[in-house]
Amino acid sequence: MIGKTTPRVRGMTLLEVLLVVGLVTILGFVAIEFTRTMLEFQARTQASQELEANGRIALEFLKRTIRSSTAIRIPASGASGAIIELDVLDAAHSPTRIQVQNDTLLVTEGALSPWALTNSRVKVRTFASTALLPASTPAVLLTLSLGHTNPENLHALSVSENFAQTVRLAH
Amino acid sequence: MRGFSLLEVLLAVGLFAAIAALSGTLSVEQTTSGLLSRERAGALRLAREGLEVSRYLKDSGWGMLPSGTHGLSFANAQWGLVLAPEQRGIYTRTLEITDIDPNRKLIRSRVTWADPRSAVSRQTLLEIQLSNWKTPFTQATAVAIDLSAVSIGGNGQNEVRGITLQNTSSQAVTLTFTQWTWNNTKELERLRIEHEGNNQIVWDEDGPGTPQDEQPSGVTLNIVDVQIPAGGVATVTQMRFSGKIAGAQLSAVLTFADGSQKIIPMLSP
Repeated sequence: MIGKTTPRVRGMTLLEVLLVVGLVTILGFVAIEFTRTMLEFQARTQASQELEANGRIALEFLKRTIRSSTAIRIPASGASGAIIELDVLDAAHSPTRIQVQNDTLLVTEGALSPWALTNSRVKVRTFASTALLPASTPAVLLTLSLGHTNPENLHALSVSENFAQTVRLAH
Repeated sequence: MRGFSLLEVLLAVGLFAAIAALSGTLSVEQTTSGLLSRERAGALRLAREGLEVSRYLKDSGWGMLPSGTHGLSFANAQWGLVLAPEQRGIYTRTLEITDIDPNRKLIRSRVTWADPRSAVSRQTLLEIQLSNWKTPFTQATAVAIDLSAVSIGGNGQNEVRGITLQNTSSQAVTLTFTQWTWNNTKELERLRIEHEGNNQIVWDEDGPGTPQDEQPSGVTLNIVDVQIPAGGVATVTQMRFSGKIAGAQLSAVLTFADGSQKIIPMLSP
C-alpha cells in the first residue's frame, strides 16, 4: 500500500461554481418569463378568439333574423334602444325579441323559452340598436361590445371586442 | 481530465443561440399572426357593412348612389355619403361607386389600415353589383313634362308654344320621334324645339325630318335628334299648323333613343 496513492480529483473553483450558478439563474429566469408570457398570451388569444367567435355568431344570427323579418317593432324608426323586437314570417317565432339580461344576449321567439346567444364566459357590456331613417327603408344599426367574464380578474383576460353592423330588411 | 475544446464550446453556444432565436421568432410570428388575423376580421366586418349600407342607400333611392369615391357618415339615424373617407379606429373605409349602365352600379367597399409592425398598408376589398330593378331608368322616366306655360301664337292662332321637357336625371336623353294627335282637320307644318341654346327646326314639311309635306293628326315624325343634357330643358317653341289650332285638344307620344316612350297628356291650348 505504501507509495500507492489514489489520483487526486480536482474540484471546481469558486469562480466556476459562481459562474454556473449565475448562468443557471439567468437561464431559469428567462425560461420562466418566457413561459409566463407565452401562457398569458395564449390565455389572451383564446379569450379574444372566444369573444370574436361569439360576436361573429351573434351578429350573423341577428343579421339573418333582421333581414328576413317583416317589420321592426322596437325601437321606433329613428330611435335607439337596448332591445330589438321584430315581426317575423313564422307566427310561432313572432315577435322575436333580442335583449341583454344578466350580461347575456337573450333571444325570445314568440312564446318560446328564451335562449342565450352568447356563452357563459362572455359578458355583454353594451348592446344597442338604432332603427334607421327613412322609415320607408327599414334597416337597423347594431352595436355590440363583448368582454370576458374574467372571474379572477386576470390581466390576460381583460380583453374586449366591439362589433357594429348595419342590416337592411329584405321585405 | 480533458475539458471542452473551444470548437465544442462554440458549437454548443451556437446551437443554443439558434434554438433560442428560432423559438423567439416563432413566438413573435404567432403574436403577429394573431393580431393580423384580428385586424383582418375587423376590416372584413367594416367592408361588409359598407356593402350593406350601399343596399340601404339604393333602397332609399337610386339617386343616393352617385358615382365616385365616397366616405360614409352616420348622423340622425341615417347613413349618407360624404367626400372624405371615413375613419373608424385604425381603419379607413371608402365606398367606390361606378356606373355600369343607367340601371346597374358596381360598388367597391374598401377598408385600408396601416400595419404598424411591418409599415405595410393593408386592405380588404369587397365588391357587389346593384341593380335598379324596382324602378328601372329609361330616358322617358327621366323626362318631366311641364305644360304650365303652353300658349297659342301666330297670326291665325295656328301655333302651339311652350311645352317644356325637363331632364331630371344625371344623364343626357335624346328625343328621336314624336307622334302628335289633335282633334281637328288642320295639318302640321313645322316643329321647332329650343335645346342647348339652339332654337332649331327639328321637323318641317319641307325637311328636315320625315315624312315630308303637311301631316295630319296621328303621324309619327322622325325628327332631328334633340339631345337634352343632364338637368337640361328642351322647349317646343313652335308647332305650326295649317290653320287655327286654338280650342282643339292636343296630345303626343314622345319616343327616345332607348325606345322608351313618354305621353304628353291631353291639353287644350
